[in-house]
Amino acid sequence: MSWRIVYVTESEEMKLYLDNLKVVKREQEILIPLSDIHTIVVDNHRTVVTGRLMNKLAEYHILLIFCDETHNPNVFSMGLYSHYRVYGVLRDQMKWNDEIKGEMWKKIIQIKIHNQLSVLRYLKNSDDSIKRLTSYAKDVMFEDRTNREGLAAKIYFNELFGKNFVRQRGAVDVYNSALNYGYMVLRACFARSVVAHGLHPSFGIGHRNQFNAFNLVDDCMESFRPIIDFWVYMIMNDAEYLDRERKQALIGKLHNKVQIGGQKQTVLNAIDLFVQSFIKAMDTKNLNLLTYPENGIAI
Amino acid sequence: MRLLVFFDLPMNTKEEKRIYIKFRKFLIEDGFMMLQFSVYAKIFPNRISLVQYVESLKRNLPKKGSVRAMAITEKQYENMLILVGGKTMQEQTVSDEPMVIL
Repeated sequence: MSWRIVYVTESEEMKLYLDNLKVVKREQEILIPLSDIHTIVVDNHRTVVTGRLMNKLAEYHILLIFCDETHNPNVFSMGLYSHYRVYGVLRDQMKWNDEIKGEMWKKIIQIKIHNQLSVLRYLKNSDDSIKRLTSYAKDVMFEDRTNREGLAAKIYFNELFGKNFVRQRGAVDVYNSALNYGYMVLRACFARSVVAHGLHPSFGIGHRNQFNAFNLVDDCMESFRPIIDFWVYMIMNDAEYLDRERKQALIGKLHNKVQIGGQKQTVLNAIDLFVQSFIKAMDTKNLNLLTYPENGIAI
Repeated sequence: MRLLVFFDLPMNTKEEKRIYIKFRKFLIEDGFMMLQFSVYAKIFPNRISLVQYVESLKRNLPKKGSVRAMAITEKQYENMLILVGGKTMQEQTVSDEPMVIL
C-alpha cells in the first residue's frame, strides 16, 4: 500500500537502487522504498532522472510530477498499460451507453453541489446561497442539460472568495492560482488511479472535448473539487501570493481524512475507492454502488 | 510502526556468503534501511500492514543462521537512546510522516 508523497525541492539526481528511490542531494544519498511511494513531485529543473528509475516507477504505479519555472505542475508521467486486464476493462468501458453516462453525470454533479454546500455550511452561514444551491442540486437533469453545475459554481465561488472573484484558469490572483495548483495535483492523482484501473482516460461521460486527453479524469474528479476549495480557503486566507510552503501544505493535505462510504479515509485512498466503485457502478448499471466523499471537508 | 530485523548469518564458504548477500539485498528491496551492521528497520503506516508483511518475510528467510524480528511503535523508536554517534541524514528525513520534503 503506497502512502508517501515525496516533494523534491533540491536534488542533483534521482536514481534506482534495489527497488528504492535514491535521491542524491549535496553528495548525500537518501533511500526511500518505492513500495511506500504514491507520488513524487519534482519542483526544480536541475534534477536528473535515470531511465531505469522511470521504468521502475511505472511498474510500481508511482505518479511522477514535474513542475515548470513558475513552480506549477506541468508534466506527469505514468505507466499507460499497467493494468493486468487492460483489454477486458477497456471493452467494458466501450460498452457504457449514453443512458448510463447521462445518469452518472447527473449523479456526479449532484454530489459536487452537495459537497459545495457542505463547505459553505462549514465556513459561512449565508441562508440565501445555501437555499439556492440546495434547489440547484435537486434540479439537476439528465446529462445536466440545464447546466446547474455552472450556476451553482458561480454562487458558490462568490460566496466563498468574495463578490469580485472570477474563476479563471490563467489568472494569477491568490485564490485562482492556488485553485489551479490544487486541481492540477488532484487531476494527476486521478489520472494515475484511472489508468491503474485499466480505463482509458480520454473516453469521458460528461466531458467530451475532442482536444482533451483526460475527459474521464475530469469527470471523476468533479466531486472532489470542493475538498480543494476548502483547503485553499483555509490556507490562502491571509496570504499575499502562493509560496512554496503553502504549495507543500496543499499537497500534504492529501493525507487528510475524508468521510467516504461510511468510514474515514485519506483523500488518496478515497480517490482509489471512488474510481473502483465508479467502474463497478458503470459496468453493472447500478449507480447505488458508487461510493463518494460525503462532504467536501477533509481535515 | 517499525519492524526491526537482527541477523547473524554464517559467512565461511562462498555459498554461505552468497546466501547472506541475497538476504541483505532482499531486505533493502523490501524497504528496510540499515540502522547498523546486521540491524535493519522498516517503517509501516499501521499495525495491520506490519502483520501482513511479517508473513511474507517468513517465506524468504535463509535456512541457517539466526534471524530475529521485533515490532515497536514510533514512540518507542523515538525513545531509543543514542549513546555514541548520531542520527543519519536518512533517518532524519525519512520518518513515518507521509510527506517527505527533500
